[in-house]
Amino acid sequence: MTRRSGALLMLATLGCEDPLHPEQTIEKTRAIGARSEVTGQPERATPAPGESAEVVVWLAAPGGAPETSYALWLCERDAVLGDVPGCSAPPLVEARRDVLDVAAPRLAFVAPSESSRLLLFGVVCGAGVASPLLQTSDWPEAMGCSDGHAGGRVSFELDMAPEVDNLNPQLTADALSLDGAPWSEGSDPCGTGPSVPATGGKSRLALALRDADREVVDGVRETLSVAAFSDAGELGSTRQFVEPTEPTSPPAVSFAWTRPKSAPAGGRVVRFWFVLRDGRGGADLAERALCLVPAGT
Amino acid sequence: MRALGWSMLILMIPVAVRAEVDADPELVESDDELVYGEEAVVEAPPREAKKRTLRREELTEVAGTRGDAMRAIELLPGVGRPSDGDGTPILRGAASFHSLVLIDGMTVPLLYHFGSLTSVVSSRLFESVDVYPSNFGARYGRMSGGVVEANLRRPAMDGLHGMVDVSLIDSAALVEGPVARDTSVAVAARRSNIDVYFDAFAPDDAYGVIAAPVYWDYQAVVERELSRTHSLRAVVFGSRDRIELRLARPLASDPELRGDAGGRIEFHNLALSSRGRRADGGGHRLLLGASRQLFEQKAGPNTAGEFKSWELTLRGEVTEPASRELTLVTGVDAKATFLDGSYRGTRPRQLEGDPLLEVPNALGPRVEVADTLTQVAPGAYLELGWSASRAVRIVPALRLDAYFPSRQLSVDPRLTTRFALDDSTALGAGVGLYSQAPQYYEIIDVIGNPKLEPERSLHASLGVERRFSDDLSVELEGFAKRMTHRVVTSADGNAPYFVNDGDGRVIGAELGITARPTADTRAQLAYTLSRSERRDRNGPWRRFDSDQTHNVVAALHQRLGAGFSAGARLRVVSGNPSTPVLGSVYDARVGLYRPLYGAVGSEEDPLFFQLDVMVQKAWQLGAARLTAYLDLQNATNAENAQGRAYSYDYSRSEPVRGLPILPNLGLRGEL
Repeated sequence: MTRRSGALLMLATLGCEDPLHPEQTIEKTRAIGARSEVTGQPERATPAPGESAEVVVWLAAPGGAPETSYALWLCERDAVLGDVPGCSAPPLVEARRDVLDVAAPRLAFVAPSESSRLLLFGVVCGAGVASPLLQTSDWPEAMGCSDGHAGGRVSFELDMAPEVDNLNPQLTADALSLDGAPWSEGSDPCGTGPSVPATGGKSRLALALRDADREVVDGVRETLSVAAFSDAGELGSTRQFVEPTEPTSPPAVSFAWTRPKSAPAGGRVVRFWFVLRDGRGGADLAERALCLVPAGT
Repeated sequence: MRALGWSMLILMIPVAVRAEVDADPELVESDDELVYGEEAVVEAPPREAKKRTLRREELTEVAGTRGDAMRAIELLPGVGRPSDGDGTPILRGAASFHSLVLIDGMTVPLLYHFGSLTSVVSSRLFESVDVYPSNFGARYGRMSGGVVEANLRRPAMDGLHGMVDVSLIDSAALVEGPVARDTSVAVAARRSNIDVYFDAFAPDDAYGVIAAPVYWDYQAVVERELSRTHSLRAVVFGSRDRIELRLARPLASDPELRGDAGGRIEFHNLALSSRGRRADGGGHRLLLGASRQLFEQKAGPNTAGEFKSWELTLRGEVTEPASRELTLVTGVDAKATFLDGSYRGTRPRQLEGDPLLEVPNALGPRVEVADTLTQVAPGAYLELGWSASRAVRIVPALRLDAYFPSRQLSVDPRLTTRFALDDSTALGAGVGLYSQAPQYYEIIDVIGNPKLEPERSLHASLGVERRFSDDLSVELEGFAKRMTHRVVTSADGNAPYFVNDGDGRVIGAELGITARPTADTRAQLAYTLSRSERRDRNGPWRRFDSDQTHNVVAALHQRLGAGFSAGARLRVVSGNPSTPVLGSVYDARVGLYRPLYGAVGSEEDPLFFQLDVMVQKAWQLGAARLTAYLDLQNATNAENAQGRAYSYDYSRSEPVRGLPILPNLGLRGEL
């Protein structure tokens, strides 16, 4: 993201990850994705006019679910291209929580009759209260939290049926494996596993995806992407893609995770988040944890 | 990394979309009796308010340029410091795409291999490089900034000569000599050496190398003297740059950049010219040119472009002295471009002053277009040279240009005056209108606006030159520009996508000092003070992307004896404006943060400081000459921050340092 330059040789500098702050490492409370669901039909991501739906914003934080307050709004998305999306009219719905709570921010709404694209926007605060929206133009610069911090500004563009019919992709319960072994969701990894030694070595985190989630749109399959995050160790990359031309069926992706070199005697819980997207607003989330134990135990 | 994707597209856009022919002012306008012959140099009355020329002996000995003649123009007043990776000149506050670069009358789609490594024509073939920083004459049109014209020399007639040059960067060879009593030929070629060691430095966990970066270029010049007053010349030159990589993983800052990435830029130019001159100062110049240009780009699965074009150029100019005081120059100028291309990627935006160009591709609106485009641009001009007295010369001119298919017409009157105060001091002034057609993609319907009008610019300048002795000359000049009808992105980014709602203003002054205190010493100092601003869609005035308030360049070249020579160049330049990032918004649909920008160009990079040093030693071995050289760019390894790199959420940033110390060691043999 440096200044524009005109050299093909710049390509030679590609591939170097962000040295400032690895995106895939969760060091603070932050949003990692969002999902829209039609009420009663959670697989549908795009509501039709008059249908009830809900958008939930997924958060991640070191150590697990964070406490947050928030304010979210839903409006008709404006037609501006290229910049931060905004509203063409005052918000239709507001959802606000002024007390800190671990429940994920969410906004329920009834899809309007005359709109093809909606915008969810707002602020998630780790402390204090989200500022009110006095006028639509307050978004996004003037939005923040009462403790003086800008907070986590979030936006999510949402298509509507029938212009766009889209199904949320799904990460099934048995989709993940750790070093080749099934990796299921558990609440006490240092009690029931899985565990890995803190040797600084690498583990392989694999996800088996569903071929059915590669919907065909205008003759082309959707591009699936998986973003991975952890609160310890180092993931070799943030994202993996399944391209439309990828022949593998069912598709799969994997991440290399470099384990920390030390762990407390009783072990340390390391958390992982995997966000699956279909490139058209559909998404799913899987969370996993493992126990990092001292080498040799 | 949208910047990369877009900049690569920019590389596909011809740097200058027109070709012209020079008329030799030394030969077509002199009031004095011409003395023809190889040694004859007759200073003619100028046709432009300011023309600065670097001659052959100055072109290849400038430290920090690796002997590159086109980089040597950065020594001159009014020439800004280009960004690393984008070496196209910035003339008096004009964007590089507003200035015309000609090589022997032909435009080229790129001036430097891989953006800035070395120019695409062997500097050993240049006779001179002329720089018109603004207020250029009517023979140049359809461009609103300035003009750089590199003139190839006549191949040697005095016997067979050759040159071989091998360095870390590239290897080159040149052969020239007479092939008949009145005909001589020069052939040159060059190929990069980078691919030999590229793999060793490539981070193999980041990408695999499908095709290491390679460039090559070639030139051939044939010149036949039909008579002492009439010559024919054929020039063929071309170039290719290519690199292909396979990224090991998606780029963290822009996951659209994944998989295969690379590109190819290739062109082949042919120019046939005829030049005639008479003893009475009259003469003609005719050029027929054809250019084939090929561009390919791939930056991940969703960003790709392929363009192929033919460009045909015709220009003729006739100079007729009406009397001892009056000279009439008439010229016609036509260019036709036939473009066939396709592009898919983020929607193009204005090339300058738009921080959204830096937003990751994954967050930009996308577009896919495949189209053919034929552009025809006939032009004509009339120029009157009037020597009102021995001290005063006035050159009024008028240029007309038509643009198709947009069916636009521009009428550009220009006036240049020169007043000699005495034998060594002269005042010069100029004022004129300049017009430039929009970039070709800006008028394509799906991504642009076919109804765009030409951009306009009013230039004015006033200067004084004084030659204190044969060894010392000083020039001081003030200049100003006012731009209107600048093409900018539409307010909401929607159709018509581009509009003529931008304007601009430039004001500045230049000081140039050239000294030759001894026969073995050459020194130059250039200082430019300027302010270049733009305004988009009636918004607030802002600084031009490459506005450099202070620009000081000092150069020294010294022959030391025993075949040794050394040179140094020092540049101290104000940092370029930058746009602060005030915060960000997480786009949960894509999974990336969007930056929230502050006022465009409201911050400034740190001062740029660079010292370059060059040392060479030559041995005369009979008829052959062997030279070893070391060119050390950024000898003090100054950091020279240029812009900032941001963390994924824009909460942290650090300066992006410029090129580190860069040595180039080489050996050159000449016969």
